[in-house]
Amino acid sequence: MKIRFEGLTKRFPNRDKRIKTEVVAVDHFTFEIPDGKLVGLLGPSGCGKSTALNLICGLETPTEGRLFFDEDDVTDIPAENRGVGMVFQSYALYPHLNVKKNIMFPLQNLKGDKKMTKEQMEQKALEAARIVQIEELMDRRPNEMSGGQQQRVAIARALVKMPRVLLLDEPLSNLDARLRIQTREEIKRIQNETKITTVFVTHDQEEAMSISDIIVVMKDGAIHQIGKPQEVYDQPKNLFVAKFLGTPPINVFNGKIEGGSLVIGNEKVLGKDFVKDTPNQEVFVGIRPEGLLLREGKDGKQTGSEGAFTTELLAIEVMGRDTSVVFSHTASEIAGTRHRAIVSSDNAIDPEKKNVAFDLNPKKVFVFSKDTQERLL
Amino acid sequence: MSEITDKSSFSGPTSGNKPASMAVFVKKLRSLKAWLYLLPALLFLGIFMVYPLIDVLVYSFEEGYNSASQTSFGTGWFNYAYVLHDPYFLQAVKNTFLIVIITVPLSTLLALLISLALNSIKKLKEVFQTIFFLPYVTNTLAVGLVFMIMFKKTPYTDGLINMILAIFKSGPVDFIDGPYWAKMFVMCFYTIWVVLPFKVLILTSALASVDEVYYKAARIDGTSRFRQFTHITLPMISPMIFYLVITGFIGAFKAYSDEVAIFGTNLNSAGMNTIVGYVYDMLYGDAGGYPSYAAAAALILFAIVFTITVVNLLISKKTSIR
Amino acid sequence: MNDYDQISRKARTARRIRLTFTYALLAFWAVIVLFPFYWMILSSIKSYGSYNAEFTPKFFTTSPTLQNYKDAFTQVSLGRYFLNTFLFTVITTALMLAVIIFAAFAFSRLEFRGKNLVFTLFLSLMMIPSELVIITNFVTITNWGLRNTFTGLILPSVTSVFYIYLLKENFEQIPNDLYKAAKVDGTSDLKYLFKVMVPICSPTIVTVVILKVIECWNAYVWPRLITDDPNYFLVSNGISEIRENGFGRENIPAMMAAVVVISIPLIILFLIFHKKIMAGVSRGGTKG
Repeated sequence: MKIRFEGLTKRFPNRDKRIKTEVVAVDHFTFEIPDGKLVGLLGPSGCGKSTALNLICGLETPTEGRLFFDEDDVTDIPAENRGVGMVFQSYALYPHLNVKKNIMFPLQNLKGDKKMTKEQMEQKALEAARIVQIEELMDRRPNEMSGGQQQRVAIARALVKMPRVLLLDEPLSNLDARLRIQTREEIKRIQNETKITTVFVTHDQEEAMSISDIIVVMKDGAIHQIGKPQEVYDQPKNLFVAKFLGTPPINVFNGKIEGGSLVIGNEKVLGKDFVKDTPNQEVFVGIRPEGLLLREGKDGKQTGSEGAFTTELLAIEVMGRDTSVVFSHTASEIAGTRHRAIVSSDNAIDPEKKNVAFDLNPKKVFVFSKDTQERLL
Repeated sequence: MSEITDKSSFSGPTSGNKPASMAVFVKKLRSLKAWLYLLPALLFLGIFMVYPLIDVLVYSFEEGYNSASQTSFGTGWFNYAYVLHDPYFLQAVKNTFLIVIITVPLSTLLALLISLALNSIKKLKEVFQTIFFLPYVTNTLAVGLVFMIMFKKTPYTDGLINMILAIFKSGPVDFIDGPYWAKMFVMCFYTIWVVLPFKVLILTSALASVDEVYYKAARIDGTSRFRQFTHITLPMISPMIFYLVITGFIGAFKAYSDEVAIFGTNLNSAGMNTIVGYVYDMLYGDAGGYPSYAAAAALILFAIVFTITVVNLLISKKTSIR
Repeated sequence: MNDYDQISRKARTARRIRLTFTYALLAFWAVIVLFPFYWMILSSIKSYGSYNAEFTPKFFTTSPTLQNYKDAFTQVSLGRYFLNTFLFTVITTALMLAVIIFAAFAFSRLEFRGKNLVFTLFLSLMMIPSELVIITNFVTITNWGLRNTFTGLILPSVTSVFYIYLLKENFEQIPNDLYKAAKVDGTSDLKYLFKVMVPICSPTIVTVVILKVIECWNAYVWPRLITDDPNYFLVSNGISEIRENGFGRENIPAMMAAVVVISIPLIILFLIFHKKIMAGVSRGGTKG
């Protein structure tokens, strides 16, 4: 099922009652979530992504705008009639019921011709439990299970009534690192199997990138970019998106476009091929860690020559497959930032060296306007 | 502290056994000090709780004890037999049981209803909470007098309640000196009025402590309000409800001062005495001076309360394990 | 589309009905709770004559009078009862605080032989109903010749196993390291108790004080047994006495004035500290 937002807006009164201005949690959302996709709402905490989720499931009502499931306007429909499944951050499993009863709970609410017999319900519960692979835990109580198992039960409970939309609120945040990777693959697999349109909320960009078909990057209630994870990573629309995606984070420098070249500090790092006809101006330059290529050459140091980007070497961190070169630069957007370049471990770098020079991969370099922070190149 | 003692015994070999005996002495002194801290509590509890507990048993088996001469004929079950055959006691038992059976379930239900209502609103919530709690801090004897006046029918006036009853074309009834059911009604009404604040307070906080997320999950799953209540709210607050029922039973069995508040000190003549009232009447007052009968009646009460509490606990255990 | 419209309209109506019903219920019970207070104040400012002239009671009065309050203080010894209750409450609460703080400290921080045994015995005392022991206490106090004295009134109620338990639990939540640190610094137990533990646990102590004050102010049974001299009556006994003998039986406005005066101190205290009091009662209540 498609989910369509039309100018959807949610404003809250300020928590501090003395302040009269309202907080805009969701600001004029207009976009469409296609049928059967896994969509990640991604943004820093407080960006309104949870509110967006609550608007979809009906726990919050919008201040303005409409929300459609396929062609149905569901804006004023209460949560209980929307037919969505939701997995809460804390799982919200009923502590006094065992796994089977927890999973059956939504089915027991069905009325009219949808009403099921006990056998049908048990059958459905077992099917849902099988999808998340917990059928042997059916008699346990929530407090007798690990976080990962509880998470699966919560997903099974959300799936059992065959929802039109599955919503997951920070589904991995209560799990430890190892379980997190395992569970996110699990979510991907379940979504693939069931083909239910799934929306999940996270503040962890790695999580969003790794499993989403589409990610929606949000900040301060506004959508900054929508697209496939790789697309968004490779073609960020603005400085915020570029900064928010990727670990280690993108390196940002003050720079300028001058006479057909991109200049950082006093070095021309990229030429006409890259800059094209962009007018002269002050810019932010973002370079992905993997976009910094170590300059070959025995002496390593060719200051001032075309294309070199010379930095002050701080440390070398060997991480097996890759090596991370930690450096600083006087033109950092935020002075004193420890920047990183990820290079292959085949390169041997003398840690005693004072400076290290890079070539730049133009595909990994983004140029943003100083005023609007929108991407120029 | 023990670490310091350990260290001193470490240095033992060089300085002989002097520190060791020192440590024992210090330990003894500390123990003594602890007992000193406890002394006032022990003293008061010993004199006013432990000794009376033994003594009341003794009293209850001493036949024909006379508080003036402090002598008795012998020992046996006579006091119990006397009490159990005393029509006043039987009346008191009947009254007490009626009060318990009527007020405990009713007040718990009403408290649950009010707490649910309180928990579902935002505006005026605190105002209502404060109002509902008010009876808890008032002197029950004093307010009982007001109730008495509102319900009483005198030659000069039918009273407020009868005036309201007249609107519905019934009455007038003298609730204070009239028929038994009317007196019992006032009694139960006042008892509920008095015990409700505590129950509402406890249940409101129990309801508030149920995590909001369960209701959200239930709503998304299309759970009706009624089912949310029976399948989520009730199981989650059931320990508190059991707590209230148990303490409610114990409290209602000990009913006394509320009765005095409405019907005055001579409860026997009003036919509204309670078991506790009987105990005090036997001890002191117009019919008083029989601590043995009082002791026997008090022990019978204790046995009843104890049995019912145990039964309650068993039921609550059974239901919560499910 | 139409279906959905209907659902949303239905949901809105249901919500409105539910809210109306909820507020109606709350308002109804609020009236029942408040009405006796209104009635007692109203009756207390009606004059004796006008009160008795009303065969059908009126819900307001056109000629309020304070005469009844004057009578309440002059014709019966209401002032005396007040003073007695005040003294009784203050002394009992203060003595009890001292006793329970020391006992709770001994149980929570000091090590001595038989501690666990004594504490278990303490806890089992919590189950003993006061009705059982009051008989002997009555005899004891009578034998000691302490009837109609403050000592006799106060002595049996200066300890409470439950409050000792409450305070001990709270004391134990204070990290042990604090005690060790104080010991290393050479702080005496007593000083540690009053400079560290008591301030940290002041919320619990406030709770205990609140509960005890309410209990004292409303005490009826024990004072009734132990005093028959009106000079030692507390307010509850005073009310009982006024009801049976004061003012002549029918002067209800004066009686109501006395009731108002007796109710007011706790109500004012409550209105000022209602949050603390309610929190305290719910804490004290749930932990038992």
